[in-house]
Amino acid sequence: MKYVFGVDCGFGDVKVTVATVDGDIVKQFKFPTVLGVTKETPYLNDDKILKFKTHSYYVGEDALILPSESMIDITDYDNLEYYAPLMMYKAIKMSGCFPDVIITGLSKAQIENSGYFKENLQDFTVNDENIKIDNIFVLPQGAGSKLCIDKYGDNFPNEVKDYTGTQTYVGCDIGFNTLDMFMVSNGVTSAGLFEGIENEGVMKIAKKIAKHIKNDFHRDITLHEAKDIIDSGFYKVRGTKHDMSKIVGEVKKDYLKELLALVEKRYGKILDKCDFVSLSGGGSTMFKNTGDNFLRTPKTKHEFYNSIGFCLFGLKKL
Amino acid sequence: MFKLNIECSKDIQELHINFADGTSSELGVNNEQKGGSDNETEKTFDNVNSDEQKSDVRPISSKSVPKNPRKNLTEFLDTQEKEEEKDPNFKPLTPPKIQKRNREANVTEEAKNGKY
Repeated sequence: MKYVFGVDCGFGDVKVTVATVDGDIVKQFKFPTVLGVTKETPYLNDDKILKFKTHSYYVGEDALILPSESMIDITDYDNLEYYAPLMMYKAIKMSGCFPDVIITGLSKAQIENSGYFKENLQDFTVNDENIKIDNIFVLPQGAGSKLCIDKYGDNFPNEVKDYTGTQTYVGCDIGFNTLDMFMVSNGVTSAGLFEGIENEGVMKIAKKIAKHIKNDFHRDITLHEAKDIIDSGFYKVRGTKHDMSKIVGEVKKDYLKELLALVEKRYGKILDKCDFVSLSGGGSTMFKNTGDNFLRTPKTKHEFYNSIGFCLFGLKKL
Repeated sequence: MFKLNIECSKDIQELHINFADGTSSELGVNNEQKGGSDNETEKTFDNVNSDEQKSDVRPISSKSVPKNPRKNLTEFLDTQEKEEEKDPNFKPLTPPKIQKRNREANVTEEAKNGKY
């Protein structure tokens, strides 16, 4: 059986969708884009430890238990490229299958590095295991979401029945770090109208929460720990849960206002001619559809829209 | 008929065995603990065949058994914290430094295309 991997290596989470050659989605999962340096203990086997280049690491959930000093926040492109093989290895092991084609993505803000990103993933070694994958494609973030919207609209996994291929809309993929926007005109994206803005993603909220924790609890937390507070509404320290929902709510509301103002500023004139604005990505869970359905968000699997679309693209490459 | 070999520390003064029918029998009394010599070596009990014990049972030195193994938890944690504070070699593991890359753009064909 041949497998297509759609891997959305985001700054917040790595989202993975695995499909068979028939187009059936057989696996879908995510793990936090966080790593922690650790060291191997002689005579004890810890299969969570991944040896990569000069260090040993915990990856994803396993890393969250480490002291903050040993954790690595993937907040810039250099880190993302360096550690991408480790994330890919983790994704392959978690899936239990080996990919024949991998489709991944980079924000438009970093697309000039897509060739290096691809080479980095084609041949790497983790835990003394050499992984070679020739068929890797790197698309701009947002392209995956667009392909997913074409097929499923805002209601994955139910396919759109009346897809005409002539829709005109603005798509916003709200990631942890970047906000990727694209314009679809008569059903097709245009290279010139992909836009990636760094530091405009959910990270903006996480930074504000981390600042609150510093002021109120005198503790430095990583952005991933802040993201956890955004998701849960609680800050847990030494077994005590502190309710942060009010502060999180206020910060979220400010972010939404700023985001909509940004879309209006960049695409204001085009918006008049659009059928709708489509929001996707992990950050889109904070929005709700407007009554007139002009602002649309996925009903399910918001954060997987890119990886699902990557898979759809990969099926044509088998 | 069976043989029962028992190892225990000198802190134990008496040893009993409880049977299934509810009856109980005293296996032995530690005479040395009760007033015998305290020579920090192998301790024996009455009713136990001392010759067999010598041949089959590895004796435990009382030095290897903590006098008070259930140390007060708070006292234990306090000691731990003090030890950590004192340890000048304690350093958290830090990640490798990733160097900034200055290089020419390298864009994949599929990204250049831009039409999806």
